[in-house]
Amino acid sequence: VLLIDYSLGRLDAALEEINRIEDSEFPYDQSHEALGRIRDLFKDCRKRIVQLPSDKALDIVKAMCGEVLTTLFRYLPLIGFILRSTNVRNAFELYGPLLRLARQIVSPTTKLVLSSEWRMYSPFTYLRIPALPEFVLIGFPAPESANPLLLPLAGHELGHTVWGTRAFGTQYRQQIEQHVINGVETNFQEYNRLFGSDNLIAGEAQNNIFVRRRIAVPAAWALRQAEEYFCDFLGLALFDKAYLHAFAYLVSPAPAGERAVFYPNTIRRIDALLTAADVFKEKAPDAYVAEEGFRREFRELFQDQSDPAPAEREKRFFVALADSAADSVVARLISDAEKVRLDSAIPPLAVQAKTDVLNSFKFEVPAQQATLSSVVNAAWDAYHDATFWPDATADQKNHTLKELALKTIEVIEIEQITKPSE
Amino acid sequence: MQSAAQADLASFDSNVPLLAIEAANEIDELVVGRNVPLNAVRQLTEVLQHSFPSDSGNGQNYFVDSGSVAVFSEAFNGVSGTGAISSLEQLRERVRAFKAALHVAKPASNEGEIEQLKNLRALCLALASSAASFRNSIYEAHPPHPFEA
Repeated sequence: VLLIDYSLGRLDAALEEINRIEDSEFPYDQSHEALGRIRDLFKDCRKRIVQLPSDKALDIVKAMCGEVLTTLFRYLPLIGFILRSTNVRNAFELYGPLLRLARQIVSPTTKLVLSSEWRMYSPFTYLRIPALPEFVLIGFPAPESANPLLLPLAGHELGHTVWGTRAFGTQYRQQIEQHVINGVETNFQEYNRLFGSDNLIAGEAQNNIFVRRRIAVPAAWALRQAEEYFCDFLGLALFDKAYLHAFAYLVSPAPAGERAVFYPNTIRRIDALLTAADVFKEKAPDAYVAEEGFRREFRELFQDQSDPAPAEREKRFFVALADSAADSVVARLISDAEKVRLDSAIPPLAVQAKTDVLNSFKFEVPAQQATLSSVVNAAWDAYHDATFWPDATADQKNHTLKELALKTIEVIEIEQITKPSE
Repeated sequence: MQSAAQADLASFDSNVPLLAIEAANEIDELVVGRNVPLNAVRQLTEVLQHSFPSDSGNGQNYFVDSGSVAVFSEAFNGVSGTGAISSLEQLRERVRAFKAALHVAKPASNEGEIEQLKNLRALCLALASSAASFRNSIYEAHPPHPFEA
């Protein structure tokens, strides 16, 4: 009975908090709707607990209450995320254009919550939330949440949703796992040194259940690395070089310490991005310009994070297998990211469009008839051009540039709203 | 999000642990002789079918991902009386038997059936636990925030 009392108490507290938040002023309906979905989920959890017969076996009660507690753990940060989406620190100007982009590349019914995050200094998304299947949640680090120059990184976060809706994980899993198994075969002696009790015979890794159980986690790391690569490529495909600049601004050189094994290490990400730029350029010769000098300077901004310590031999072995498996699908991932852009009828960056925006910016006037990509690419070009507004101080230039970019994005939204329907 | 028919045991896109707990709960109702709709049991059978498609009987050797192998064998190895699984063939055989038992589950009418249902219930709970552990094991390798305890 206590287990049930405690579970219901926790759920009621969470529901009460949601009721309080629902009284806030929401800048757009979808944020409010997401909160309502979480409220319904908690109510459903409550119903499940209340309906347990009084003679229910203890192990079932424990499992059910444990799962409900896990649900609370999982959804509590989302409630905070939704609450912060109402904060005026966010650049609400970005919401409409980003929603339109999300609907172009994901689905016409996609919903968006744009918010700010305090946990990390990088953009952030919550992946494949069972209660919010058609929602995309994008959070920018709180101090940068009104910085339009970082908008291209939303392309990466949208990529996670695309990865889920197009079931790329299922499509890539077999190839990646086969690569991991081949890696075990190739490093057969090392494997046997580390895991002698698995009795691995050469050529039998595929059919050895102990090997298969052991590689399950590194294969999942590799699949997550592949997803990260894909999201980078989609961000680049959508926002061209501005994605690289935004990525460098937030990530370079790399945080100190041990890498997360479900991300490719930094230099591999950079090299893969530059490769993707070359591939994209084949179909869009005027775009994705990454000349030699830029490539060198860009690459020099970064450094790898540490691999697991040498004493962690088993982890190092599996991380190397995961890295290699993720790298083996890079060409296919680049092609899939490009296909998503083409399927969504999103054109590559037009040089003239970017020049038009830059010309308006020179006069400190928001541009008209711009695209998101042309705005952020023009803004980054101006940011890096020491001769742009030569009389302005760095602070003045930075401030004015962000304001102009935001205003231009607002103009894009107004132009869309007032556009005669076709 | 994936539906149960598309999900596999190691899937992050659907809540396999909750599904397995609900299936255990439905079977628990059968143990005490209460007849209830077996929706979760049916969905769990679909997840197993999707995870181990080679069991469809047409002789084709389908791909089975290692995550599903790990989750299922971990669950079976954790339940007393089932014996540890030591080969993929043995694993497939256990999956077949488990699915068949889920398929014919009905309220118990004698001691033997009660025992069978209790075993089935224990396996569903073990599956819930191993699916949840597998999901966590992917991410626990990430270094925590230095100030986080």
